[in-house]
Amino acid sequence: MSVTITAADLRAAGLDAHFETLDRAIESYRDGGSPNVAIVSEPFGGREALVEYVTDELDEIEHVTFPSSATESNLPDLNEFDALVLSDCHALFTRRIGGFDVLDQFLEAVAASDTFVVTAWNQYAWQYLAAVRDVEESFGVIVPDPDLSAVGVEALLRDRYGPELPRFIETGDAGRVKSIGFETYRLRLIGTRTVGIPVPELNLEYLTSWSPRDRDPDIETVVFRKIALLSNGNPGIACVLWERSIRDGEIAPAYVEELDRSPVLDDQEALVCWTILANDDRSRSDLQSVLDGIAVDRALQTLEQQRLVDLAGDRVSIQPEALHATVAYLRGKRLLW
Amino acid sequence: MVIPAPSVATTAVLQSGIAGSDVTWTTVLNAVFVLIGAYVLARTATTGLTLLADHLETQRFRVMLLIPIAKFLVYGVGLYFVISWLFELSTAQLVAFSGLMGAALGLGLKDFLADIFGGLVLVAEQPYQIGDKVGIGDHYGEVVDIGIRSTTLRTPNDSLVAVPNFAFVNDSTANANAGAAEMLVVVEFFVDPAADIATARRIVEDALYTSPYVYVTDDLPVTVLVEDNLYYRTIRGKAYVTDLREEFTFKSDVTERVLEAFDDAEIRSPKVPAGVGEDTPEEA
Repeated sequence: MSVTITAADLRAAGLDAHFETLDRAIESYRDGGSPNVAIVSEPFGGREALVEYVTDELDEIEHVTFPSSATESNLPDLNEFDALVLSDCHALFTRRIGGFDVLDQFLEAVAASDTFVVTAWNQYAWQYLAAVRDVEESFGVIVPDPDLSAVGVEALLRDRYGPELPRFIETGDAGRVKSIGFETYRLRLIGTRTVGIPVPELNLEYLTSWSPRDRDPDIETVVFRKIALLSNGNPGIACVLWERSIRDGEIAPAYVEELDRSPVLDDQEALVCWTILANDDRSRSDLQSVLDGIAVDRALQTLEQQRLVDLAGDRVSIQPEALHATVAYLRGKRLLW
Repeated sequence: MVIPAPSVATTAVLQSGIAGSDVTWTTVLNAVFVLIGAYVLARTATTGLTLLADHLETQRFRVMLLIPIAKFLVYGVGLYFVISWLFELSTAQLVAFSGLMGAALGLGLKDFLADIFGGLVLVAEQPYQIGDKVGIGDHYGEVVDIGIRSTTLRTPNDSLVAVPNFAFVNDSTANANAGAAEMLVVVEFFVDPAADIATARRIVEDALYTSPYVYVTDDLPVTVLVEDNLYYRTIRGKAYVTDLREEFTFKSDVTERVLEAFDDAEIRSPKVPAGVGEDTPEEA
C-alpha cells in the first residue's frame, strides 16, 4: 500500500522553501541560465510531486523516466533539448564492477551541456553516489528531502483527509500502559546450570504516544505527534500510517503502529534490501541480474517474512511502515553511510 | 652475616597482623564466598556489557572498553575484602602488608605479578581494547578478552592465543583500528606488464566501491595505487572495511570479483621468466 503525494499536499505541509528553490531555478532558466537541479528524497518522500511541479511550470519541458538498470541507449542526447526532467536517475548505476559506466557518462554529459536539467534521485542511492562518485558536484541546485515537522504532518493530514476526520478516541490502557518491560535472559553458569536475569525493554509505542499533559490529554495532538515520530516526517509514510490506523471511523494513539522489531538479516539479504531501498522498487528479474551470485528469491522470502518488503507481482518495494526500521538496521550494518 | 633487626614499625604491623588474624573456617568460607561472588559479578558484568556491545554493532567499542575496567574493579574490591576479613588489617596496615606480601611473592611469582601489573597498565593506558585487531609480538588477531593475567586473541585461524599482559610492556604492539569498527584493508593484484593497466585499475576501484563490506567517507577514501616492476605490475587497493570482523570476507569478496573481471577483460597474470625467483610476486 502506498499513496501518491501531490504538490498541493507538500504546500499544505508548509514546504514552501522547496518550491521557492525550484522557482528560482526555473527563473534562472527563463533568464537564459541552465542550472542543474537534483531533487533528492527517500521513498514515499514526495519526489514525484516536486517533479510534477516543474513539468507543470514549464510546458515545453521534456520528461524522461529511466528504466531499471538503464543502459547507454537510455541516455537522451541533452543537446537536443532546452530543458529536460529526468526521473529515477538512481537507475543509472548498479552496485557491481562496471556498474558506474552509464552514470559517469551521464554526469559528463550534464557537465558539458547547456540544457536546463532537472533530475530526481532516491536519497539512499544519492548518499552512496556522493561518497563513491561525488555526484553532488555535478548539480548546482539540490532540493533536499521533504522532512516534515509534527506541525507539518498534522497540516498535511488535515488538508488531505479533512475536513471530516475520523473520531479521535482514547483506548484507555491498550497500547499506553507500560513504558518499560522485562525479558528474562538465561545466563549460562559453569556446567549445565543457568540463571535468569531480567533485562529491561522499552515500550517504544507507549513512549512515542506519551503526552506530557496527561491530566488533560489532547488526543488529536497525541495521534499526530505519534504519526510524525513514526514516519520521521516522511509525507508518504505519514499518509499510509494515517490510512492504516483508522478503524471503523475512529483513530487512537494505540492504533498507530510501525514495524515493532528490528530486522535480522544476513549479509546477502541486507545487500538485497539495500538494493531495493536505493531504487524505490525493482523487479525480481532485475534484482537477479544485478545481484549476480546471490540467492535473491530466498532473500526476498526472508524480507517478506519480516514484513520489510512488499511483493506486488514481479515488483518489489520497501514496506512504508518498515522504511525507517530498515534504514536504521542498514545504518547499523554500515550499508548506509 | 648480620641480619638487621626489624624496625619498630614493621614489627608492630606484623604483630598486629598476626594477633588480629583469627583465621577460622567461617572466615575462610566468607573469603571463598566473596571470591565466588566477585567471579560471578565479573562474569555477569562481562556478559551484560558484551550483549549490549553486540547490540550496538559498529558502536560496540564504546562499551567494550569498560569490560576490563569492570573486571579489575570487581576483582580488586573482592581481593580487598578478602584480605581485610582474613587479616583484619586497617588501611594503613593493609598497604604495608601488601608491600611485604608483594616482595615475598615476587621472589617466586615474579612473572605472574608482572603480568598482573601489565594488566593494570593496560587498563590505565588502553593501547588496545576488546574487539581491536592487534599484533603483539608474533601474534595477530582480534582481542576477545583482557584478563587479570593475559590478553586473549582470536587469530585468523580461529585459535585462541593467551598473550601474557607483560608482553605489552616488553614487545611492540600494533593496533589496526584503535577502538573504531572500521579498519584499513589492503588487497593486492599482480598483472602482466602488457595488460591494460587503466582497465585493471578501474576494475579494482569498482570492486572496492561496490563491495557490501566497504565503508567510504571523505576521511576514509578508497585508494588504488599502481606500481611498476620489471616483470609485473602491482595494483594495490586500499579501503576501509565496515567492521574489522569482515576483514577477510571483504578481501575475499573483492579478490573473487576482480579475478573474474580480469578474466573477462583478458587481463593476464604476470609471466615470470625461469630463474628470476627473487623477483616473483609471491616473494615481493
